[in-house]
Amino acid sequence: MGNAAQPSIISESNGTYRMDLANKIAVHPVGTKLIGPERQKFVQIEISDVVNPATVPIGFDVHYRPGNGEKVLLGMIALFPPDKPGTFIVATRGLLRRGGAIVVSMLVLKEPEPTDRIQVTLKRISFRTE
Amino acid sequence: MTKLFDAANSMLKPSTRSVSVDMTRDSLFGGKEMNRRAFVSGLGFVGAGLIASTLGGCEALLEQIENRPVRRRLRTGSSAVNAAITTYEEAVAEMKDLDDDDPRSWNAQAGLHGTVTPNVFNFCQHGTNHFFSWHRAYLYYFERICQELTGNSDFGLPYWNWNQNQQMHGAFTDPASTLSHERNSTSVAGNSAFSDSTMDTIFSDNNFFTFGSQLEGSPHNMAHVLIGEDMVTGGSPQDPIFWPHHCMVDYCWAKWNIELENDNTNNDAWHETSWNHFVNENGNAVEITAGSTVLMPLISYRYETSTVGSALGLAALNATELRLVEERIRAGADVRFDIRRRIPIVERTALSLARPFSAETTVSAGDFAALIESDRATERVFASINHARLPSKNDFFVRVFINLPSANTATPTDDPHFAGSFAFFGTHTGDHGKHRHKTDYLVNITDTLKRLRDRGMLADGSPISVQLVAVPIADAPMRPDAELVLDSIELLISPVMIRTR
Repeated sequence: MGNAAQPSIISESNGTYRMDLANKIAVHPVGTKLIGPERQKFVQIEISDVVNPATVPIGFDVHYRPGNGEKVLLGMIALFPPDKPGTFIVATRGLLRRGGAIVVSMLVLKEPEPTDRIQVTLKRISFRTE
Repeated sequence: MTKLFDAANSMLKPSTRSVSVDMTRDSLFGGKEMNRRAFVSGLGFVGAGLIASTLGGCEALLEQIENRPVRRRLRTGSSAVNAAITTYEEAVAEMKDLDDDDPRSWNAQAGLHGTVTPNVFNFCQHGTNHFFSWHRAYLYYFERICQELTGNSDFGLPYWNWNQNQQMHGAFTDPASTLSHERNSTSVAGNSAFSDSTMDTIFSDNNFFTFGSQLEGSPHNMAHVLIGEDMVTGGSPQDPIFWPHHCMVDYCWAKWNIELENDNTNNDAWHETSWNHFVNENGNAVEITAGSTVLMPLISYRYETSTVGSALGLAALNATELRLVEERIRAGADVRFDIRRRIPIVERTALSLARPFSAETTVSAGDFAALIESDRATERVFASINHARLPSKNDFFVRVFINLPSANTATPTDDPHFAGSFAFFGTHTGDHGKHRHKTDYLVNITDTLKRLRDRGMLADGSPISVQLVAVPIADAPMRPDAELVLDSIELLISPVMIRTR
């Protein structure tokens, strides 16, 4: 059977990002203080607050952008229901290196009405070794 | 028809805290070579054999388990799948005909999960460690209701393998069918959450908790939001595609666990979490534990195998292979997790960033010499940490060290005294306030003891001590009063966990 001890969490920054229909991208650096970025197994994205009264379907692409090079799609997450905060993990596949960045892009999966309002708060983007 | 799961579960309960079976290839086949496909596919039969022997060889029950319903992959060109769709259509119609105050009715069943208006969850588990188990129980009792209302005890819910068939099956888009429903989309094509690459990444994770979290956050959630309308609400089970969608999620768990040989958690609190809001096919309330859901694919239904990502479907066993598996199983496989010895360390203490925990046990390395000096020892030593109250916020996790009273947050995890860590991932109150999950933690310290011994850092007379160090989650604000209150800390000596290998 599996390990009963549950995953530990290692984070480098508690930077908060706010996204809306005009600002759909958050860029979180893989900072110099992070020990062993290549050993970080997951990016953890903590969405602490969502304002989406029309429950417009939304998701997020999570990319890794190396210091110099093309960004790589790590994975995709979605809110269910679209106004429910939550904590999500996406596997890094061992790609993280110092000088790179995690790029989180909000996807609006259905054309919003002009009156629709969407605000998402990413309380913390962190890294986990297990 | 006797309901297999109820019967078997009630009789097995005392001895199946772990449902794993000793199936290392050498021990299973007496050294005989057997290919992995045959070996893994045999688990369905293994389950039947084990249960029959536990029940004293009840042949009728064994036969029922062997003939349990098959959950098939939705596709065209299969008469068996067409028959399942027809039964499902009938079941949906029957459930919609029932009065809402009948707990088996369509609305009542959907209401267990949540409602469309207001858009809220009720009992369902999302973002918790019981995402898999709660939904497995939900599907199981729903399937039984379908069987009862249609008079078809062989009915198995079909599953929508959105990795292989990204377009929803035509039966769900036919306006004349009871399975049709208003939706924003009937396809997940082109979305990377369902791609081979994504599924391979998720399936390569052998940690039960993070595997489940990834599967939930990506393809599961994405299917809900792409299909939209009712599916994107707490009342998503109002849409008939909800059930084949969650059946696929359940198949992913079963495939990861049974076909691909990854292990579920053995955490006591996880296994013992129970729910009493489900009803059986007669509308009577039932109580079920999360731990018992792990048995279901072995005794209550089986999945028609299929490919997910690059993990191929597996062929069925032939008669010879079945016999080999059966022989080994009848020879005896202990499915229990026995605790041979408990060594209490402390009762009722607290841990915080300012206050690490350290205590000596009453045992020394010499007491474990036989265990830690042999690679063939059949027992392991665990530090068992039983909590009484979690901090209100997950601001720290805990590292466990052995024989290092000076351990602190700066002590690296490659220090030879480091044994493991645990956190409170998924144990917060994100369970909609309906239940509280008490999670306890086991850390296997056997390898640490061996390492210290090998390096001459653990003499025979050295008392063994345990340290718990609270480590802040990076620079997250740490409340000075944030404490993990512990009920007890003890060492457990246990036989090697018997495994589904």
